[in-house]
Amino acid sequence: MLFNSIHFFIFFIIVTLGYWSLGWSGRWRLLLFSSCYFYMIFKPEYLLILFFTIIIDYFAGIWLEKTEEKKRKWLLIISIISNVGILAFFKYYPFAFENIGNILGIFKVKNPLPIFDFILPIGLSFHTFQAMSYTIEVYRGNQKAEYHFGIYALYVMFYPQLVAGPIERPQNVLPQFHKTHEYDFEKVKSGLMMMAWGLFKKVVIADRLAMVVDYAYENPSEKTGFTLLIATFFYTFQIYCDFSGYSDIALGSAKVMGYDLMENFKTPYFSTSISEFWRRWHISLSTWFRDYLYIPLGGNRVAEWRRYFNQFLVFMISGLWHGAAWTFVIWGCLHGFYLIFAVLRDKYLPNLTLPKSFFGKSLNLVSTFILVMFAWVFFRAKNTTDAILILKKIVSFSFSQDFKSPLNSTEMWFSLILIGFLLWKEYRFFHIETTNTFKFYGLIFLFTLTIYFLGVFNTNQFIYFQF
Amino acid sequence: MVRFFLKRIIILILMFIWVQSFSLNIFLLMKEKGLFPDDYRYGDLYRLSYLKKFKGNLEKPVERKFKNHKEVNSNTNLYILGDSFTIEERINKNDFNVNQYKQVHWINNENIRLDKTKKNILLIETIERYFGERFSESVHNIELERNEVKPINPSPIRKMKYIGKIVNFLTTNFASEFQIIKNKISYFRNSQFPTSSNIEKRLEIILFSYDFILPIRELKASLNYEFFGRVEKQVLISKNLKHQFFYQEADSTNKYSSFYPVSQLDIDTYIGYLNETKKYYQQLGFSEVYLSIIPNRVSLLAPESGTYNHLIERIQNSPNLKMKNLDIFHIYQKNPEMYFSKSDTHWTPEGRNEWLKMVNSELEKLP
Repeated sequence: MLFNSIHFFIFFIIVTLGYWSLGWSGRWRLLLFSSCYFYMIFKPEYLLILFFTIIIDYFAGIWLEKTEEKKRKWLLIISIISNVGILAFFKYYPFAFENIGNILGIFKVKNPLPIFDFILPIGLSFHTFQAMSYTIEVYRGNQKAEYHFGIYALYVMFYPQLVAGPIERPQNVLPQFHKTHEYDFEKVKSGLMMMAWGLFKKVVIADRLAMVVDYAYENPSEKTGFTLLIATFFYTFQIYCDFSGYSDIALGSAKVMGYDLMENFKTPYFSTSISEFWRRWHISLSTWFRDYLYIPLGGNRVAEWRRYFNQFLVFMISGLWHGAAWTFVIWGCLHGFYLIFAVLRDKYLPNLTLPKSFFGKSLNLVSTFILVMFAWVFFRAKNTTDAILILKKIVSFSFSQDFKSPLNSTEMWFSLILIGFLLWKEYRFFHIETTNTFKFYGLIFLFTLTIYFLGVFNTNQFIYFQF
Repeated sequence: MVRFFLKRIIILILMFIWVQSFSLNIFLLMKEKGLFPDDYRYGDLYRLSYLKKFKGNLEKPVERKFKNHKEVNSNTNLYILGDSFTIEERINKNDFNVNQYKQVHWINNENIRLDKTKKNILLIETIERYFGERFSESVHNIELERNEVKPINPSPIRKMKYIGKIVNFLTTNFASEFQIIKNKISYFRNSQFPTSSNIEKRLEIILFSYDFILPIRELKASLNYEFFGRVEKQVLISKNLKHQFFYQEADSTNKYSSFYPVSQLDIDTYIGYLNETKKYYQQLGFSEVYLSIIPNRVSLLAPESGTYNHLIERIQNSPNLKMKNLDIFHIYQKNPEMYFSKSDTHWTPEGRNEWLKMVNSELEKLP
């Protein structure tokens, strides 16, 4: 079910009230059961795949802890291969099938691979990575194996972060599931406010901007450069509000029950460099890749050229993680290239590095924003042909060109005001303060009104659900 | 203590609401009991747009003309293959001067038993927007019951013989009932299975269709319309702002629209299937097969909204059409606002009565 739905609203209240009415053993059972329902309502069959991976990793964790040193590595490899294998099969098989077919087609050879027709289980990339994080941490000795099957299953399936993260670490979450949380009204208020703000970002901002983006990107050959530029600018904020809005709702709904999940976004569009951007954007994923791919490849301890290669590889894989399409791979590679270029520029052309004055920082901020915005073109476009066409048109745009939008001028200006409001809020305060109860109720009421009256309810799914 | 009970009461109430939305049968039962209002009561278009200026009270069905069965013509059985215009709530046996009456919906398939001692008339009714889809192949929604019994292979197990006999007995003597159950299951499976979106739609009806909530919904619709020029995407407003239409019939890019181009080849294909359908049903035993196309609202109220494809006229006026046609289009054209509701895609009582008058008058002409 979607977070921006009446169904979730009813579900959330029932589960939360039920949670606070039960003791520890009732609570984990309720959360596990409700997480199963949450996942099954998308497609019941998905649950089988999820439980398959849960069972494998549950036993893998226990065996890893009990097994002698030599065999531990092989157990870990088997666990990783099974997780990655399931992900690869469901997510990347059609992509591999198509590309192998294209290559063989050049040599007029028939594609030997069988055709499978299935739908990608929702959130597969997220819970696969979360499960892998567990077995790797057990292997490294940073986490004790979880013997309680229900708690382990809950670690993978916890509904707030089941389908689109944040990708949690077992050290953060497992101990919390073993604890009996005391009711904390301050946490409840804080959690509800996060949910309200997340919902505002999703239905008032993201889904409004989506109307312009969908219109422009549907047939870019028929749109002017000016229209595509505005649409790309809007998409930059749409994807942020959509994804961070989801994360806020996830973190907020967990917080209401006393659980603290990791922050996934920290005002990324105020970054003054690409490396800073990746410390602020989808933090759970970027740290996952750092800890489980980049560092095992050698991290910063290897030779310089090898370090750049590793960084580029990690970003390329990160792109592929987002989607089985060349546009995502290119998006990832672009960011890898940006990062390496910045490092090389600072090292070999220090004169080009901007001063740390206000002017220098502002210029860095704007240039980082522009680089990120252009990379989003590949992320959003239907294919590489469209992406290249869009970039060509944007680069050669002029203000004299026609601008067409499904929104009228009032709503276009309103959208810009919303973007301005978003940036102001992010700059001014990260979290909305909730200690004053009267102010809290007032803000919740205001949010409720604005979400209802200004929200766009086209039952748009969250963007990151497709990953 | 208060909190203790309050939490549990809230959970129970919400669970009750959830169960109604999850189970279609419970939802329909509660709707029938009046636990929540009928969300169609002000019109199906209003239900989509919530624009106050297009809100109307749907009038209740009028007194049925042929309720007194003493005057009924006992010689004619009428079968209608139709859509929402001719469902039970709008049209039933008491509206026709006939002995027997049955309506089969386009989404169903049904086996019937024809009484060959009577005149069996088939009337195929369709709304204009789905005409192309329905006649892009010949029609077989209504079939005759098969009287032959399939032989059951003798089973070495004695029990099977009796089970086979029971199955045979049931399927032979209750074939139509089984068919009804099968149709209902297939209807529910196709359209009302508890997916997340169905649950969401039902929750919206259960919680937000009360009269005291409608002004809030109307305010939101009005804000979107007045400031942002936007309405619900399933509704389109006419250029003169006087009418709202279902998007399928008014959006020229939609294949169901009155403004979607229809080539002469398409018309010829439809005529071909219409004629094939007539021949097929006459072979099955129907004395006569009629066609009645109910126009899209936009075809009558705002045909200038685009390049109107004149589908109805081209079909009805085709010299190759062998199926008898009941032309309601030209009757409605005289005063479309009287015959079509402003808040609903269906006809007003006046529109319904004109159609019934036309059908009954045709039935009376039969020898």
